Order: sequence, then structure tokens, then C-alpha cells
Amino acid sequence: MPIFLPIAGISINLLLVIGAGAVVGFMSGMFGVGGGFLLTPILMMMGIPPTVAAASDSCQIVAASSSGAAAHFRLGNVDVKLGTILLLGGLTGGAIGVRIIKVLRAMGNADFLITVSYVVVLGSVGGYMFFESLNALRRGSMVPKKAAGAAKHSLLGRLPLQMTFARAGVRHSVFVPFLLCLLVGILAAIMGVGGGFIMVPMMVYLLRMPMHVAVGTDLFQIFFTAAGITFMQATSNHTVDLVLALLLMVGSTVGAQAGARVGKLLRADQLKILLASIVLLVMVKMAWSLVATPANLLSHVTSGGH
Amino acid sequence: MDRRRIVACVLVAAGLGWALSLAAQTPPTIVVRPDAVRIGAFYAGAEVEVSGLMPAGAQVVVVVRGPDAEARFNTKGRFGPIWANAGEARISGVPSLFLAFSPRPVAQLLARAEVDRGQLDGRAIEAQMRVEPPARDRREVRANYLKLKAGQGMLRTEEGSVRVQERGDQTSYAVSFRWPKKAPPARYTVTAFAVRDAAIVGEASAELPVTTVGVPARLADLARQRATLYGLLCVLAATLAGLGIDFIASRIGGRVSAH
Repeated sequence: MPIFLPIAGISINLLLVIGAGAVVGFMSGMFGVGGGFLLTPILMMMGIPPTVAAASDSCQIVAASSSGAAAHFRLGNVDVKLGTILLLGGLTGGAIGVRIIKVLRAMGNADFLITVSYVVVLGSVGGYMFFESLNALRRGSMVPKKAAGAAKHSLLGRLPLQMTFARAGVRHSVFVPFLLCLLVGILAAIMGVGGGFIMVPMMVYLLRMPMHVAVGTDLFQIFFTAAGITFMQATSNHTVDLVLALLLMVGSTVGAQAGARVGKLLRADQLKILLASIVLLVMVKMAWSLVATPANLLSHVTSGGH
Repeated sequence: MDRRRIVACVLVAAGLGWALSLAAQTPPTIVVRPDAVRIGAFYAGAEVEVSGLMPAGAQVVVVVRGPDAEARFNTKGRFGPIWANAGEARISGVPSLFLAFSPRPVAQLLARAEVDRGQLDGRAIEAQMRVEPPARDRREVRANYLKLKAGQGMLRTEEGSVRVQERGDQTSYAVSFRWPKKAPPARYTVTAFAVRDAAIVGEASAELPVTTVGVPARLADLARQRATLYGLLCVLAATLAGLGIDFIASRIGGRVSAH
């Protein structure tokens, strides 16, 4: 069944859009990370202009994150205090990242550096998660290495403005989550994604937060970030396609429900190793795109994503 | 024979000849059905028929052309083993849509100069293309642009699709085709060329407006003219939809944890 997307300006199969949302929603529900790094390329492959794909994906994330954050809030998985600091760090990092990308674009080789960033970040995060989860599977448990954690905490514990985050069950200097999210914000802006797939592993491995609280808190801060980006894209670039976003949301909601149910059947370490495998696969695809001869020497100019 | 009768016969014959030549030079006509393509919420492209009359014995070439618009692209280049962006290229001077229907390849019907003058095939379009900055103006950039447009269905040539029928001193023609779904709202020009002896001997044009109607039109207008309101609407609609789904999911005992 065809449907016309008024901002993208093209007619597209309704079930195809809902299906794309469902696939990404399934992964989101299963792993608790965003699908921005997957959905935008999928939409582009379907013929949606890149700028509309990225902006509408942001709008879809507003819906999905508000739904997810509300569910996690009821379950007590959202640390509002930590989430607010992460949000401030993310917004600051995002602003810095946008400046950096502007300079890089002016230099003319931004896309190359974006792809290299993808390869390095996805390779590091995916590789670390993969081997950490593999070791845990071999050990038969997910007990973190105490020695490494203690050394890290003793160093971080000396920083000023220490604060207890009750929901997350951790105590850190305000600077730690702020700077961490600042870094993720910069990377997210450069890479044009939400940053969930970097943020959640960082919260789990560096801030030592429980996985579910990391997911809930990340959703909380992502809601505000995505809402801000959606509004800015709509007012500055006129690239948010509400029809596309709502269709994706229908698909992602159904997919997320199915993903969450399948996820419950798997152990945490199994989930992590699956997610790591997907992240590594995307990394390999990106690395391949750097060396493989492109099908066409021309690609449409994009104006950044989310 | 009476001298006056001879003069009268000559005059009548001349008059008949003049009338016949006028009939032969009857200007070509064109009718496009539907008169506009209206894009509604469930638009899936449209079937378009172009028909009309041409001078007898003429071949017919029908061309649909979109307005010229500058497009910006990143060009890729090889740096050692790595493919990376080699800079931006702006391409202009080419129609946003080009469809050509003819009985045989246009280059076989017309002299090259005529094809180029009317921009009637891909080669002619490539020749008219402007690439800025000049450093990016390479043969492969032009060829890849045409390849990209062809892949989108926005540059197409079809041979053998024009139906013609001789009707005394005139030829009727008709061609039907599927309007490309990716062609954006704009005013397109449909032109029928009468071709004889490797030259264009007549042409008729009609406009085919493609417009959005109904909900898509209202949403697109809102997005462009009242962007702040549209932005707020997007955020609000997405938030409410998300919270609504969470409410339903919590009622049926499910869990939503996507972002």
C-alpha cells in the first residue's frame, strides 16, 4: 500500500516503512540502545533524502524514548539527577561537535573523518563488549573485574564535587558523567547519531551503573536531546517528515515489544555479545565502504543528522 | 481554349495547392491526460497519456522535462587504497526530470545538431551540463550524474512506445507511460516534436503541473510557512504518541523500552 511522504516528497510502500521501524524497534527492545545508527542508512536505501531521513529519525526517537523512558521510570530505572547531568554534558558536547563538523565540512573531507570515527568508535566499543562478554560467558558469570574497577574508582574518587546517585547506586564527581557525556555528545554530533550505542556501554563499564538503570537514564536524556534536535531541524531545515516519523514509530513500537520479549529469554551476557556482534558488523561494513569502489562517485550532500 | 478560362484554371489550381500546403503545415497539437497529477495521501504514481496530431508522414518524439535545478553532490576520489570525498560539485543546466519517447533512437531520427539543440537525449543533456567548480568537471562526474538520475527513474528514454496512425494528410500519435513516483511537485513541460528528413519540422507543448493536495499539501505548507508551529507539533505529537503507547503497553502488561 503506497503512502506519500509530504516532506520527503516521495511515495513509498507503507509496509516497508513500518517494517524498517519494526526491525530497528526489535533491536531497541532487545538491547536497549537506539537504532539511529541503523535506521537512517536504511531509510536512505529506501530512497528518502538523507537530511529528511536523519531529521525524521530524530522525531521517531522522541516518540520511542518518551515511551521507553516512561516505562523505565515506573520501574525505577531512571536516575533523574544523573540523567540531567548527562543531558547537560550531551548538549554541550553536541554544540561543540556541531562546530567541529562545520569546520571539517569547510575543509572538505568531513564525511571521510565521520566514517573513520564510526570505524574507530564502533570497533572499540563493539570489540570491548564482545571480548568482555565472551570472557564472562566462559567464566559463567558477569562479575566485573574488581581490581580494575577499584583502581579506576580510586582515581575518580579524588575529583571534586562528589555526588551520590541513589537510583544508579553509584557515587561520582559531577565532572565524571558530565565530561563522559560531553565526549559522547561530540562523537554523536560528528557521527550524526543519538549516541545510545556508545552511551549505554560507557555508563555500564565506566560509571559502573546497572544495565537497566543505564538504559532508563539514557532514554530519559535522549528524549530531551531528540526533542531539541527535532525542533531545530523542523524550524531551520524543514526536513522533519511527521508522517514518516509516525509510521516508523508504529513499526518500532511493535518491534520493541517483540524485542523486549525475546530479550527476556536471553541472559545479559548473551544479549551483550549479540549487540557487540551487530556493532562490529556495522563497523566492518563502514570499513569496507572506505576501500571498496563506490557504485557512484556522487552522493547527495547531507546537512548532518542527530 | 479561352485565355480567360486558362487563367481561371491556373488560379484555381494554385488556390488548391495553397490550401493543400496549408493543410500539410497544420501546426502539431498536443493533449495531456490527466491535465494535472495530484498527489494525495495514498499517491502511487499516475498513468499519463500524451496524444495529438502531426503533419502527415512525420515521426513523433515526445519529451517530458522538469525545471532546471542546481543539485549539490559530494564527489568521491581515491587516496591510496581509500575512497574519500574529493570535494563538493554543483551540477546545473540539466532538467530535474527527462523522459523521451520515440519510435527509434532519437540519434537515428535527427541530425546530431538538432538533438543537441533540443536536448533530446542523454548525450545532449550531458553536453549542456554545467559542473562547478571547474576542477570537478570531469567526464566521470557527468556520466555518474546521469547514472544516478537514471537509477532514480528520473532520466529515461523509451523507443517504440509512440503509437502513430496516418489519417489522410495528418498523423495522430499517442504515448502512455507511468509517471515516475519520485518526481517532486513542480510544473513539467511535455513537448511533441514532428520530425522529418532528420530535422524538427514542428512542435507542440503543454504543461503538466504536479501538485500535492489534501493532508500532504497542508502538512507541507505548515512545515514551510509556520515552521515553529510545525516543529512544536512534531515534538508534541511524537511525545504524546510515545506516552500513549506506553500507557497501552502498561495496561496490557507489556513493556516498551525502545529509543
